[in-house]
Amino acid sequence: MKHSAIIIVILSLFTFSSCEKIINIDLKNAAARLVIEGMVDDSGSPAKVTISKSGVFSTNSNYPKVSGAVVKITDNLGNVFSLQETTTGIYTNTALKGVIGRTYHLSVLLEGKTYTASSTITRKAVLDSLVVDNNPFGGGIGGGDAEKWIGVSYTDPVGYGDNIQVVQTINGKEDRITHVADDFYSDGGRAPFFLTTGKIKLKVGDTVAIAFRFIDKYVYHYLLGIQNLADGNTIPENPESNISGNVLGFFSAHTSQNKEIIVR
Amino acid sequence: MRHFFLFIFLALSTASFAQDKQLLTISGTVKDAATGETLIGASIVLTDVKPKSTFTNAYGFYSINAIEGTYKMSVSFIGYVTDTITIVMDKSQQLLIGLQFKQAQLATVIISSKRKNENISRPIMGVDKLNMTEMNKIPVIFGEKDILKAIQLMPGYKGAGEGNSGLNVRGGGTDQNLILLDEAPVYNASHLLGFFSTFNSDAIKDVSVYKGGMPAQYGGRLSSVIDVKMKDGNQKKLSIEGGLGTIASRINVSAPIVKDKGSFIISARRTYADVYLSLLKDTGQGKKILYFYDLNLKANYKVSKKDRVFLSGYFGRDDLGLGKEFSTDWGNKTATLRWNHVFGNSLFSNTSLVYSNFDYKIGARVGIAKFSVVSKVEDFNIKQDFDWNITNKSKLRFGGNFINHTIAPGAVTEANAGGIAKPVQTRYSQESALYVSHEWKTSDKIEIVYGLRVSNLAVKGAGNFNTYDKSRNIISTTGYAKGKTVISYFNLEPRFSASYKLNELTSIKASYNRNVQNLHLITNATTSSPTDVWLPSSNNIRPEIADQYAIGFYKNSKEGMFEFTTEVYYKALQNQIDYRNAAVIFGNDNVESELLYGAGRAYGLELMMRKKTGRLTGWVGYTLSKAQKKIDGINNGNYFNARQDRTHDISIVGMYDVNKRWSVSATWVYTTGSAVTFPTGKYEVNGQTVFLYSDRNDSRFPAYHQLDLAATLEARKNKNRRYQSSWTFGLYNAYGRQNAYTINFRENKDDPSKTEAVRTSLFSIIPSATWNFKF
Repeated sequence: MKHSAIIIVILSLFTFSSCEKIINIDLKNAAARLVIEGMVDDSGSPAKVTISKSGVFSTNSNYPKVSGAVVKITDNLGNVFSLQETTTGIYTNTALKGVIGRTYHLSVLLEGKTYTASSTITRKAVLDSLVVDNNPFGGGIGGGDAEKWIGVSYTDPVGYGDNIQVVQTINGKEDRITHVADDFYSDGGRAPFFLTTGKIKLKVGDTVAIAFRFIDKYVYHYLLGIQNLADGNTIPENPESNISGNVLGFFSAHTSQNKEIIVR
Repeated sequence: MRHFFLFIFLALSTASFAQDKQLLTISGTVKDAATGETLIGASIVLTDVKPKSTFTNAYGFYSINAIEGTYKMSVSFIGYVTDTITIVMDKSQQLLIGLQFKQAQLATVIISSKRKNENISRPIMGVDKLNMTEMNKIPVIFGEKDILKAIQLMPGYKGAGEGNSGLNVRGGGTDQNLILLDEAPVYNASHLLGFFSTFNSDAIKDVSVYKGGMPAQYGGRLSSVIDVKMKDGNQKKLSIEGGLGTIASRINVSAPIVKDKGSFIISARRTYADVYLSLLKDTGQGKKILYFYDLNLKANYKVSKKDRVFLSGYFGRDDLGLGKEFSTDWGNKTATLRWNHVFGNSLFSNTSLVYSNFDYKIGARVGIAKFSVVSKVEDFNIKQDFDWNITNKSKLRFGGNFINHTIAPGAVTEANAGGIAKPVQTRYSQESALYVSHEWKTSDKIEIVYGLRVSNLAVKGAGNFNTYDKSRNIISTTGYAKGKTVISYFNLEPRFSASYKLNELTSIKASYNRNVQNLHLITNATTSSPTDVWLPSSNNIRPEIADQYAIGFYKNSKEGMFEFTTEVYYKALQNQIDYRNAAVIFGNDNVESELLYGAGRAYGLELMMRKKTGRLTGWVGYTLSKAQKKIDGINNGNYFNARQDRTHDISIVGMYDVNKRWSVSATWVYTTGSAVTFPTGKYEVNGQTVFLYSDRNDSRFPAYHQLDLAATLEARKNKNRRYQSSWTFGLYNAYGRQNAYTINFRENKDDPSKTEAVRTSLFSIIPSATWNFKF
């Protein structure tokens, strides 16, 4: 339903003449920037904060982790949870479990500077079921067989402004693509939300596990920014972080539900 | 204000009372003798001690004054044989003049000396008139003649690239162009997302484009006016023209309703790109649909010697679909009813009722969910213009208009799966304007045009209007009843331009203009699409304002063979609109919470050398320019290059008549790549690698260049055959330059330490052939 879908259809229709090529472009390398990613979950996963740095283009996807930070999460009732560095750059606390209605404040003290963020778990949407269907935009337009995709049916709470995020794991491997949705067209309803896949193409027999999160609107806008960057039809810029101090990343407190389906 | 009107009054009095003898007037219409089509901008020169001159207006009407006596009057128009008539002025009179069309082939067009140097003395700057005969020779994609593409070959006008309908004029945004078809604004001037324009050139008589120095009768957009006028139709006999092409066919029928009194024209065009699609492998997704069509209709009737009525309409639609999964169609509808009346001999009046509509529908099926989107922009417009030839040296134009806009910005409904439509409110607004403009030859050397446009936009209920904080949260909501004014913006738009003739062949000109824009196209995508949203100014969006200063130098060669133009401009823009990161534009009732505001500036130098006569005609244009924006919340509030910023722009257009039957043409364009943001690093978030970005638009696409060729072969004249025919062959992108449509970056699948730039280009070499006929 996105605007880019129309462009894709048009371009596919012109495939008899359009062409893709890998070209050489000299890119500038910016200085390394701090990336903080924090998460508070209600499903039993530990609270987790990952601190790393951005890399240059030649980085082999191993981004340097940052050690030695003092990481704390406080809720609006005054409970303080301190997160321990369990692995280099990864700070966790298993006792911290998200509760609906609470606001969580993150504080990261690193090299004399404090970075803060807040996130609230307002309510939750209920994950009902998963469905499998043919992806109308997948594979089929220029030729080849239509691909399958998974639809997530959920009950959206009445009232606009609810946002969800879905993480898709295919045969035990996380499909590294961001999926977020708002309730513009589905408020209070059950319109299934279909998930495109990244490098992995779904085939009959695949097991797909879904983590379904109810996220706050700042996190939604951040992740939507990430999702749009991947789609490529938007002005490229770093998504607005909800963490202070000009860092990259986000802090999210959310509810989470899990379900599995086998592709038939 | 008071001083301004006082000045006008003084100027008018000096101009009108300067001559004391009884002035007589000769007025009338200039037409093509064969078809009765009125000629716009034809030159009329009355030979006297000092020659007096004037031009026909948009309806072919002229009016010229002289005291009693006998004169020679010469009437000329480019491509036509100049007619010289002896006039005995003993009383005011009306005179209809018919000019003979000169066969274009090998004709060294004879034009009067006045006409030849019109560009020197006229005070208006930054105006270009498209010569339709010349335009028809310019090579174009798939052989489809296209006025918007032809405009892009002139300095100052830049296309937004292949597959983009947008036109950036002097660094302005693509929504800052007022595109008029018989006075009706056309909101989306492209077909198939920009590959073709909505103007079927068979139906077009005249195109005037203004990139600076817009006369006060135009308003509502910041950057340019593209004023397209349709043909009136053959007043003498039935005429049928048409063409069969590789991608589209067209037909044009015109005939008199009553000979020499009224005529009509019907012009239709349809593409058949879907024919090519059916050649693709069927993928079981159902029928693919991809076509557009255009219909232009016009009728006119001369009710009396002083009254003429016109009814014109345009209807165009694009249809695109993919089985049951996806369908979309969009298009423009316009209708214009006009009444021309001449009061006395020198006051010309035109009253117009204009209807204009752009709408789109989208339907999509995703799983069991069925979505549909319907959107429209609808205008009702009433306009009154007066054109008063006070003396040969002093002309006054004044008038006003009132437009009622209704904008329904794409609400989405989901039919099957229990989803409820999110309402997106329809917005109502009323735009009104009054203008006065005085064109005055103050001496033999100096001519000036000055004027004022007073414009107002009133945003009306019914509706809820919100204010927002910086985090997109609603701070307050105010509900307004139907017809209640929410907010209104009043603006004064002074316009001034002057020319100073250094000698008969050389002049300098200067101009200052303020333009105000109250309708804004909201799009955060890097490519344009019909689903972009138009919004009126509101409690959040302020009217966009542009102040443009320009100076120019103009020189013609002695025989009128060469014309040389230099213009320098500076534009300061206020209340420019940009978007927050990850802005949701489509179907969002709170779209105004996604907007950011700031300023803009654009400046440049434009050079053009044109060869107007001989077997080889054409021009070379060069532009050196800069376009920047400064938006609160982007790039730390610093100036950054606008996407349309292109440092260098070169266009070369050549047309050559080989012999009586063959003519060839070529165009070559070179443009600095548009300003874009390329990544400057990468990081990991949410389990995936994400590219890091630094300053906005600090990189460039590779330069864009392309050569297009065309050749026209006229069929041998055969007296036994009732029809004439010709072939047009085209070669688009002749050396197969792979110009970038998009450049995306990704990590190499096998070696993530490598970042790949993937360039998508749309068209390589495309040959085309069209057979044209006329009888």
